[in-house]
Amino acid sequence: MTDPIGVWVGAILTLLVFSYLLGDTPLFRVAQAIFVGVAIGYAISAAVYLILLPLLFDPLIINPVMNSYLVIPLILGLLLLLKLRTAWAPVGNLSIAFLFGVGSALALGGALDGTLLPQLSAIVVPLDSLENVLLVAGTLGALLSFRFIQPQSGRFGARVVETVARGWGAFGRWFVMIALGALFASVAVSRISLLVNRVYFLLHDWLQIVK
Amino acid sequence: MRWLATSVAIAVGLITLLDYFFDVPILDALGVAFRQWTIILTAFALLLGVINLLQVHLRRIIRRDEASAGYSLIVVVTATLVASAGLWFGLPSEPMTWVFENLYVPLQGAFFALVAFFLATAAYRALRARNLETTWMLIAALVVLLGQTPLLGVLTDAREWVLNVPSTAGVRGILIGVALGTLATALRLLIGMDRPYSE
Repeated sequence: MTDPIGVWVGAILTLLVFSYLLGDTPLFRVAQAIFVGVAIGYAISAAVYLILLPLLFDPLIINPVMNSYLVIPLILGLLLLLKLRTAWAPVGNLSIAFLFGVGSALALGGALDGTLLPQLSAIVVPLDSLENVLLVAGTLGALLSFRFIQPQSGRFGARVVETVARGWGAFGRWFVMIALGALFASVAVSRISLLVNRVYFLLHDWLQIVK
Repeated sequence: MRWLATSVAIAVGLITLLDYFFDVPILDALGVAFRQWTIILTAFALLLGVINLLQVHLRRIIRRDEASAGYSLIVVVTATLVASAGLWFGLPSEPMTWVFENLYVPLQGAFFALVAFFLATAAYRALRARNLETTWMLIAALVVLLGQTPLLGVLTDAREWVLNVPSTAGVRGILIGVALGTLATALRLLIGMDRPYSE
């Protein structure tokens, strides 16, 4: 970043955000408002230039006959915008229903193919080392720890299964807690890296007192 | 109107799902079209959200009776300026790259960096060894955190082991649970048991 105006703007905005360390100051709120404004402006530009123009309006204008089927998403999109008025909002439900239909099908396929099958196949390992035993027992235990079923009473077999599942689930909760601790530490490290980056920017790029 | 929305959701959902599992030309064509329309509709949904947000802020400015009217004015002015520049110059363009590099990136970086301080206070509260479970969490966090510092190189192997074995097992259990939950929710939507779009 060699642009001096850009460096000054970036440094002032960084200091505005860091003013929160002194409390919820008006300066911090100004930074928040600018951030929201910039994000909105950028999102509008991205939606228009990266999606609406190349995928909808350009094909419709260039070759309306060949791309006449694009009238359907155009109508659905306009129906969606009717949600801005409370009285007309139910008309927009059709577009929301379309999004939910396609979205749920993609989520189902993605969860099955992208998460469930790869993760299940990853725990099919030979139990020939302590690591593999812990991986399998921990994964199943972590899954059992999220089991919220009313305890079975009555039959002896059901009570045994319940006791084993509860014990294994309690064991699995240790693995969940270890995972959460590791995730917490990873997030902390990434945020500290960002903090170092911002401080370096202030001292190196802006004040130029650090080489 | 409600039956129409439910029919649309079930029909497009089933066609997209069938396209996912079967290689049939007509299903492929419909699946591709539906995915493209979804992207277009998402852009319209984004515009809907943005317009709604701007309406809320404009209402605050017009009323002038709220303490946050000044901040709302900043939101509206900044959004208008950036959107105008974006729509005028296009994306990607030099002015928008300047906005991204000198406004968006510093602000986002500073906001996320601020989280480091809150994480420190959260760590003090969350990572106290109250029982065996929180003790495991504390140990894992300390090993992963300190294992990255060059001063405590002996913890590097321990960090790798924690990340590769118990942490992976825990995360894998959570992921399988999330995937099962996603499957159940998606199936309920696809067979019309849940109809959030009709509310």
